[in-house]
Amino acid sequence: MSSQSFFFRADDRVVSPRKKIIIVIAVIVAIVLIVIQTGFGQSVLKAAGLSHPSEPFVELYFPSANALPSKVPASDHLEIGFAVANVGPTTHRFAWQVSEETDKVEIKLASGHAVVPASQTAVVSQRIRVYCLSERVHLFVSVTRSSARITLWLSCPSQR
Amino acid sequence: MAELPQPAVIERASLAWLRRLITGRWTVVPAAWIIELLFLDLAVAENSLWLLRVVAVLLLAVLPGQLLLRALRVPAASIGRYIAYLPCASVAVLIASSLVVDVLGPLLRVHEPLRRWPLLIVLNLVIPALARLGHRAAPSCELKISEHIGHVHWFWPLLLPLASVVAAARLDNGDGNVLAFVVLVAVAVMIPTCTVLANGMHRSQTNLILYSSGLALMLLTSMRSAYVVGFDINSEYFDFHQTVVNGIWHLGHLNPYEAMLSLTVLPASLHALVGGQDVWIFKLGYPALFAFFPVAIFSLGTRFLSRRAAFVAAAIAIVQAYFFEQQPEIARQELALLIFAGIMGALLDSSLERGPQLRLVSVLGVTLVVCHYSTTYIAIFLCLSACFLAVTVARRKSAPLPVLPWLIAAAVMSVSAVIWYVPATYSGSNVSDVAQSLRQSGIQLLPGRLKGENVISAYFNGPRERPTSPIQYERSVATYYAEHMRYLAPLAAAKNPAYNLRAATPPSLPDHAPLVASGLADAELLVQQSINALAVVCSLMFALRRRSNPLTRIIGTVGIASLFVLAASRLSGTLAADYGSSRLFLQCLFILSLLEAALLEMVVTRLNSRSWVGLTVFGGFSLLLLVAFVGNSGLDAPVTGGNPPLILYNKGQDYAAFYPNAQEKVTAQWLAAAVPPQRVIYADYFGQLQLDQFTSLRTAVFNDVTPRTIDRHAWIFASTTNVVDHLTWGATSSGLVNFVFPAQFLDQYFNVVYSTGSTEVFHR
Repeated sequence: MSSQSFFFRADDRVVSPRKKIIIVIAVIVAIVLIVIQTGFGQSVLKAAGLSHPSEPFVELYFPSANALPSKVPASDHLEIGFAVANVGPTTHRFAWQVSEETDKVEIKLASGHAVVPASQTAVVSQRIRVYCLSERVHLFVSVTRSSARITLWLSCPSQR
Repeated sequence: MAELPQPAVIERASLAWLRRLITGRWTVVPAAWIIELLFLDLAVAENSLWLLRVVAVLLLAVLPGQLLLRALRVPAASIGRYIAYLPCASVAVLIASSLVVDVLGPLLRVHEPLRRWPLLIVLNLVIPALARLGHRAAPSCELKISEHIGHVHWFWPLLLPLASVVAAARLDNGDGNVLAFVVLVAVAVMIPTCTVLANGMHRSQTNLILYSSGLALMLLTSMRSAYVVGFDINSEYFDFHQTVVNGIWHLGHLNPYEAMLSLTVLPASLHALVGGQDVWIFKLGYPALFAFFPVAIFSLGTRFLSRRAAFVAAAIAIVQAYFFEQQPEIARQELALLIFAGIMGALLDSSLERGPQLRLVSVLGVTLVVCHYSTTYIAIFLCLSACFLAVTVARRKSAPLPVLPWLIAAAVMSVSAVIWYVPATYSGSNVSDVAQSLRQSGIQLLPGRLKGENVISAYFNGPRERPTSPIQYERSVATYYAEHMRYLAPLAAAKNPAYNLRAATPPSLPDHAPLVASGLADAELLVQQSINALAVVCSLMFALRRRSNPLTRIIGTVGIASLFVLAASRLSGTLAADYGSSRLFLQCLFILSLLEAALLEMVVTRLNSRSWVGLTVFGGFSLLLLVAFVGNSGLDAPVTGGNPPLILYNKGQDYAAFYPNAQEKVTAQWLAAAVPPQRVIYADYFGQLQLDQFTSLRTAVFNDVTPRTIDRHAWIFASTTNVVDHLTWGATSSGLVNFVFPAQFLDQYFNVVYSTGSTEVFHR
């Protein structure tokens, strides 16, 4: 029975020049595969445009999206909570702002900042005063460094 | 030996002992296999290293198949002439061994059997067992891989797939499409060049060129994005990923995707053994297997054609967009078509004795059954039709055609299909769906035929309807929802004409040369229809030709059966709706491309008074294929404009529809976590794909994102295309309709409860 298999050939005693070339290529490929897994290899891949860290971005959302208020409370004051998730490799300081837009007039209601480590989420809870200048008010929450923006419609009490 | 000094005697004796051990003269399992198995164990155990991952892939692709083929007594020469047997056999062993682990694991209290160690342990039992089964095989069954590798300088085509991976990465990273163009141009140049040179090239060299070219083209599609790209593959990936997460797959009442081992057990096992991200199995592994398809066509062709003609046959498949753009987006069919190629190769292999042939066909037939339903049904139909036609033809001829292997293949696949699809997985709903469609709608002969149009024109134009406008679509779905989905309550304000749907223009490239564009489109149509017409002529000619040999006659009968399948899918609106004719086309092209090349060869043989005749005929035909390739690949897009292809641009219809990004992934996952159990979700036709890929949101998801159909308490998933490009789609019976995403309505009446800037979720 011959012993020929994928890697081994038992009855070969002398390595032919062709096999030498194959062995050299295999060794080179092996070295390349080992090197590209190192930090140096990764930096080479990045420089060649082959490995690109994904662009960091922000997730902005209402944690209680299923139970959001729909009316402005009689006191005009509202507890608004939102989350800022940092989908990126480094810590970021996000400046946030809550504003109200009525008839194309924007009123700044609250602002602040949240320091969010990489791949972490910060939940912000803020008590704001809402100005009922029409039947409905439109609240906006936005953060710097991102075009992300969440909104909330609230109807004003009818007596106003 | 007595004359040698003592140390030399000991050294010589130990070498002889080692040689006998390795050659297996002392053991039932040759030590060479044991050493390779040890390498495999090492590679799998340390698969976090890329080097060992590559070693594991190579050994898994070759070693199980090599041993299975030897155990089946398939001669090495036959494998050498039809190298696709090897990956087919390896896939068969890996599926079978993984299934055994999956079924027996829980009985042995291994609750997650599809993990690295249980799978490796069973491979350590299966591989020696296969080696043991084959240890009495004749030396002619010993496959010498090194003899089929060929010269080192033949390996240069393997740089093409590497270039494709780099090109896709650069395009993803916004670094331009120059390299992608280079790959396409290289393949385009290769087609006529190799056609001219094919007769002087070694079989292994041509195999390498075809494999590398096919793989390079597919990788340009499959390697785009960090996630899977395409339509069906999103749901396929979800089932695969669930199997990976659970570490086990269960028999029982399953949907068709869950029941296919090509989407569950096999990729989950490969992932466990090879390591890395699971998505790479579909993006890289399956295309690497399917790239043997054109190689198989070439190998089959060389059995009765010149190498030049066989190369042209393979090139006919490679230039099809179905091959390099659609198939990488249908994982189950990639694997199934490879196995189908293996079955056809075995059935048409006169170098195999009856026993090994039937054993090989049976093993691959069962493998096909568990890989993909539709490919199996078509394969069964082709086998039975070939038998019927062969018997019919044989009555008029003196020499009978060998139909027994075809009958046995059909029987094995049919019995396995009944067992697998009914008592094992209860997943035959796709058959009942087709039957129900036929019962409800009839066969719908040429549904797109216009009044006064002749049958031939209607056939070539295929099923079609006048395009629907956004307003027509809006009214149509609003009426349908009002009648059939009364539980949904759209807002009254939706009827405000200000929110009527407006047509959107998808991004396209400017047309710099309208005349060239028109000429190329006409030429492409002409080439494609010439290929179809050639297929008809060839099949009839080779099946009925009096002087044909049995091999070409049986291929001719399979060709006629393939044409019948294609014609049925083209003529019947019902069948076309249930199963895409483009997917059928590639399966049928496996045989038809060979017949077309055979016809060219026959013409050349008849005219062969001078050597330039062959060059002219085949060279001319390869230039026609080049025209088809330029049109299918989008290589002409910078000049002729139009829809930018996904393999070259970060814009266009396919990019907007199929290219998922990280923002869409986290948005889909947030939505899945945020919604309550009783909810209604809306995501457009292609937004649904992201929910399919990244979440288990399957029920109560509606795709008609229009103001008049959106429920007032709905959750609406808006993809990057919706938010940034303001584009969405609606599905109609005449195709997809583009319209502007109804952001104006949603902003006015819904809250934006989640946002990444490029994706949003609306709710109220």
